[in-house]
Amino acid sequence: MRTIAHVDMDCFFAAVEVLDHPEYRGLPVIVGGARGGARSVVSTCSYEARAYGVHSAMPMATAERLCPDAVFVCGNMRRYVEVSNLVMSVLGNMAPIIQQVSIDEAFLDMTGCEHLYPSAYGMGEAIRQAIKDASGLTASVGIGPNKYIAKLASSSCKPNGLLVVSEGEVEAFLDPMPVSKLWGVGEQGSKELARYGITTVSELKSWSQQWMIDKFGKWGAVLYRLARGIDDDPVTPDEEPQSYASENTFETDISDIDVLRRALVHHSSRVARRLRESRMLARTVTLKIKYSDFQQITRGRSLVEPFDDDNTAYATSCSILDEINLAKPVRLIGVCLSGLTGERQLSLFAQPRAATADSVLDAIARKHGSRLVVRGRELQ
Amino acid sequence: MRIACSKAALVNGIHAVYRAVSAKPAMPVLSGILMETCSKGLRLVAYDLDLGIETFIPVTIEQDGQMVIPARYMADITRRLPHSEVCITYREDMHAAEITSDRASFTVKTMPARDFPSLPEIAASHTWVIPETGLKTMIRRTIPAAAADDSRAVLTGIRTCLQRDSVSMLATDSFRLAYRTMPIEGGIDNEVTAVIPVKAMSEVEKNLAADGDRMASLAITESYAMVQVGPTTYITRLLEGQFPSVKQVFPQNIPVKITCDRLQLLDSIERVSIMCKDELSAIRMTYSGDEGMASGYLTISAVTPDAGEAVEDIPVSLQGHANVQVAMRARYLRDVLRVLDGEEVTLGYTSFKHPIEVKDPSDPEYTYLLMPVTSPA
Repeated sequence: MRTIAHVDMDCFFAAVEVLDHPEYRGLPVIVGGARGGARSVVSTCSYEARAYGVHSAMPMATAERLCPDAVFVCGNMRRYVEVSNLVMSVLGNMAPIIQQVSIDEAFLDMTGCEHLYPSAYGMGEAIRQAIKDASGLTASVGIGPNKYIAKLASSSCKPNGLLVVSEGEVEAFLDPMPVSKLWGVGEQGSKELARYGITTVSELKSWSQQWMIDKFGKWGAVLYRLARGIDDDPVTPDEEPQSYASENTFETDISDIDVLRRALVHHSSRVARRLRESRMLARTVTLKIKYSDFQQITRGRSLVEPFDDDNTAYATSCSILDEINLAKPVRLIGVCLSGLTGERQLSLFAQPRAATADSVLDAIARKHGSRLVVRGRELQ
Repeated sequence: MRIACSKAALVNGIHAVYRAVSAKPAMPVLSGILMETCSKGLRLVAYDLDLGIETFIPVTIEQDGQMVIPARYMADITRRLPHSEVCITYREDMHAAEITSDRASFTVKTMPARDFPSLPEIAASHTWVIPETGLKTMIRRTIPAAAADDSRAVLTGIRTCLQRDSVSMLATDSFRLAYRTMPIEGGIDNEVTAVIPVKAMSEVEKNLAADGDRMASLAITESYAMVQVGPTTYITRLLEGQFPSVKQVFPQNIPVKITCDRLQLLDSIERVSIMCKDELSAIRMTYSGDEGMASGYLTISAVTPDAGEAVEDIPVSLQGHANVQVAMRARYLRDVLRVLDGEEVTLGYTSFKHPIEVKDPSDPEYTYLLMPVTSPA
């Protein structure tokens, strides 16, 4: 039996702002893109702001309307990374294996460390205390027999909470849950399941594995396991990523190729930027498409010369799209860059203007968020 | 048509024009070779609408005529003919060519000669006459730097510049560059510059004599270049597009020059690059030797994480400071070392991010530049 902890920092960016500006304490704090920017969105907000209905990914303009007196902060990524590194190093001292999932989230494989603590609950409190002592910030911790249950546990006890779900408690924990809480289900997926009268995990469990696979393919097999709390995914320590991917599920299924191309502009720019941030180049572009009937296809193309620019990622994914049969409407589209190398072949000639544009856009994105300036062809 | 000729002449003629046979013909007739009798013997033409090659072979004409014969059959048949003499007859009743040699006989369906497009007329104001040996060296040493993929079509050509007293050729794929000039006589004041496709140039190069004093001629018009080598004429469409400006690219003051045995360096690179992950992976070069010493070792190494590494030292002589450390694609250096003839080679080093200059002391008119590879710190 494994013991996995999931650590999730509470409203991380907003909490760091309060830490650095004690005068914000108790006030609604909203961290996001530039105020007044038509397309800037909330990246995090404090629980005081959430009380007004503000949530992350909400347009800044809406947040301003809901909570005009909030403290609006533009966000200081460098500072957040600094605090994150501090927290992660504390966690690294507590667990033999740690996997950082994002700037404010990590899995800890505590298997074999159980005897160091009076109980699983004591272990969770020790983790939370260590973070508090080192950074002054609060975290929510979920402990379970696998990553999936640990993560569900931490999100059920937010903020500043601790929840332990032991192996024997998994069923009682999952059964009443709405299916939308399961990994990878989301709004679209729960709509799909609702068509069969499935809204809770216990309802999901009443269907056979064969039925799930017949109805939903691979996804059905995954759901069958998730409903039973089964997850074998190991906690894998951070390593150099092998690829960068970005994808989205559309609100409604799409047949219009122009809409798909616009989505590719967005995804190519996103993955190419992450590539540049990690100072890598890629050789392979892979396009992923899931049709309305959940059939999924991936098509890749390798280029002669490694690249890290938006244009190559976009042009290549577009030309792959052109060769794909779009007889069925598309539910999901995504771009993945792989074949990564750190070696950069220098050019004899000055960098092309497109590369200059990329680096200017990157600088703006670093300072003001990635949605402040976007490519024209991404707009309708 | 009815002709008789030697197998050798026919094989050579077919071979000379074969590269201009279209692999994916826009019209069926372009998959064939035009054969027609004329006062110079038998005229052979292949034309893929970008490159056209025409040659003449001596034959005994018994009856005049013309036809287009499928190139692949013709090439395979002539190569394997059993006897040194061959006879070709056009059978009008069958629209076929009958090829006989000794006791072997082939009948091959032909296509009508009137469908074969004629080669472009070249009306150039001047024709440059250039020694074949010199032209061969120029092409051979510039071709490796041209781009192989046509993402920028103009870089798949050799920029050729003809002047009153010199001709120069330059190729670059934007990561490396090869440049060579040579003095000539009988040019004109009006400078002519054109980008000639590598495909045509490499065909021309194969046919040029490596020694002797034969002359080739070269003429350039608005859209075409024509090169004549012995009985064979090459007509190629020029590449269009803006060739990058290379003026700023040549390093002016090179602080470090490393000279070593060319073949030793080439062997070493080929050995070490076995441990490269792929064709694009870099090898590293580091100089070890004391400051102020004229000689030391160049350490060449390749590392592929999870696979292994290779390292080799070769003796070199050094001019300049001893702080040399640079990484580059093995292929870029290997390619140039293979086309040089000199015993020694000199590498000019400025820094890990400046172009490396490769010079052959025995060919001062030639310069090859290659850009290094950098890795994140």
